[in-house]
Amino acid sequence: MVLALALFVLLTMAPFVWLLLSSFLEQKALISTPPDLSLASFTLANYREVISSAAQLAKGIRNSLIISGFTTCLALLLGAPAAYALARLNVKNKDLLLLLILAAQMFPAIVIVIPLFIAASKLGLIDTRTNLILVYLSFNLPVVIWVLRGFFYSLPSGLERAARIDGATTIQTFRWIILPISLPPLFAAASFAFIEAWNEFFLALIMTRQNAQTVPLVISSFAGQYQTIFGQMMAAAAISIAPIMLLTFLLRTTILRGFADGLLKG
Amino acid sequence: MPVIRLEKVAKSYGAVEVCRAIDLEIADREFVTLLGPSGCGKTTTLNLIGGLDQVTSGSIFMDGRRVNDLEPIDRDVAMVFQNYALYPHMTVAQNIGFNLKLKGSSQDEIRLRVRATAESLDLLALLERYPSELSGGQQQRVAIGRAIVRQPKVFLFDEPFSNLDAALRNHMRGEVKQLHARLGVTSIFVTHDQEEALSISDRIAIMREGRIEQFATPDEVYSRPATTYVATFIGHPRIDLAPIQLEERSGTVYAKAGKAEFPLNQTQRHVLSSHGGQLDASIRPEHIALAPRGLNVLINDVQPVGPATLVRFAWDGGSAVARLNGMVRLNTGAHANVAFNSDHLLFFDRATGKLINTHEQGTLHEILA
Repeated sequence: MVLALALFVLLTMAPFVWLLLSSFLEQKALISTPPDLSLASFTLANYREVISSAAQLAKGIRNSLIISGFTTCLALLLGAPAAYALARLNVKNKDLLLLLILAAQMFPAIVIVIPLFIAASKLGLIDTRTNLILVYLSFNLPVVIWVLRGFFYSLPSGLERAARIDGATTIQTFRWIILPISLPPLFAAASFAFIEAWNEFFLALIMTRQNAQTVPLVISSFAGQYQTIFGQMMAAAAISIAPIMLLTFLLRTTILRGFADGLLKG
Repeated sequence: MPVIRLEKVAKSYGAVEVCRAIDLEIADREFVTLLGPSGCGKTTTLNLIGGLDQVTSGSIFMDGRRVNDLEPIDRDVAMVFQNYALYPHMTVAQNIGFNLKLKGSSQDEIRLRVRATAESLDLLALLERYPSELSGGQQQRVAIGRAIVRQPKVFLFDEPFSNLDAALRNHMRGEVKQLHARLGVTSIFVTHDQEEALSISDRIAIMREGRIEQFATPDEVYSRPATTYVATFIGHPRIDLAPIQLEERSGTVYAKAGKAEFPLNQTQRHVLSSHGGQLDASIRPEHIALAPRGLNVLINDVQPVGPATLVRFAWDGGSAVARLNGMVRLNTGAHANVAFNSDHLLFFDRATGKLINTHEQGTLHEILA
């Protein structure tokens, strides 16, 4: 069991280790076969380069933060009440709604990217952050609703009954009783939405040109037509995953508890 | 004027009828218990009165006003739940004050009333604690505090002590009784524990399969149970029924259960002779005594319980259980002679299971005295 888990960890960690390793290697050492891992070829030059030509990366990070941040906030703001209503209240055609929500995120991005692009260009939203926020929201919201609904569904009804006896309306119950005890799943859903938006590449590639470029696009720009500067690309990638790593590390217990609550009992 | 009246109240979930045509009148300041085994509809009845559930048919009146469609808060009821249902993210003070906050009371007023409530329940030292830091008994006192702080017209208790251990349960029972004496608020208490019901109620509604079998004082349900169901449900140990026949011999009428013969008094004789149909009889354990010239019976079980000894026995034609004072030395499988105080016999119509009233009016209290 322990061995299997260790193997799994090794397998999932390997790309990251390689990413970090290559971000510290000279291009020459990296592209030789086998890669030259001797101490002499280690360098901080990649990071220096990336940071000194930082304007692009900084803009990408700022765009990504704004887009992911807004997507996450909106997904929770809309998703949490929707999930609560679908889990606990008498909603007409509840099953149909749930099915539609699930179906909404079953389409792969590539299927709907052209209609999305046309819609966005008609609205004049191409290469804007607003556009990516809306698009990401439409992909994240269904997942957020499903995760939170699972959690709300599993809550015992005692607290809501007590709140009703105390004279709370449905909205007051949701605001003062349900939300405060739902922080772990809310964090889990938030981190999911944030990471999804942060990492997304394909839609951002289609929908943006210069202004609204996100981090993954900036990183990919290190791959040129004639040569790819692997070391700098990896250094940029390392910098871009740092915020997510930090977030996940800080909230790790809350996130784990949240997913366990929402997914297992749902 | 009764403060709460239920008229033909019924509740079904799909095809399952949980409450069937319940009629109930509860007077102002009365302490009423709904008692019955699990699944008898007592908690559902409480939820219907409280407004947490909607009736399928029938009406609920409070102070003469039909309240079927009112929310709990508009019925002015407070409720204490079996699992306490305290808000886990709020302190004791916040839990107690939450309903005042919702009502829009001022901070100062909330603080004052929460403190006064906490003081009366001995919770002052715990005001800043969270529910998870409290014992079961303390949590239940907080739940009671949450109910009394807003001074409602009716208290509803849903098996509030069933998660507590026996000693604490006894203690809390006393506290609730004192609370009721002090505040005089009409209270409805749901329990499956007959001892609890008998010890705290003004009146008990004994429920069975969604109906009220008998609604009367604790004295009455014990000594004059309306049906065989109530007779056997109330009282420990559970009593037996024996089929009887009437027989007249040299001017005396006897109730005969096989070998056993019980001479009937004037009232019993009068009522039973004019009653057609077959009869069952029973008697509470304390009205049986050892008697050298009494009925010879076979002892099936002997249970010393401290101040008394419970003895189950049978004879040709019936069985019964006696509660003998003190520790009596008897052996299972042996024979003994017992006598019944036949004035205390309970007679039931076998077909309907209903009590046949053979007690003279007004004698009940003499009997109990």
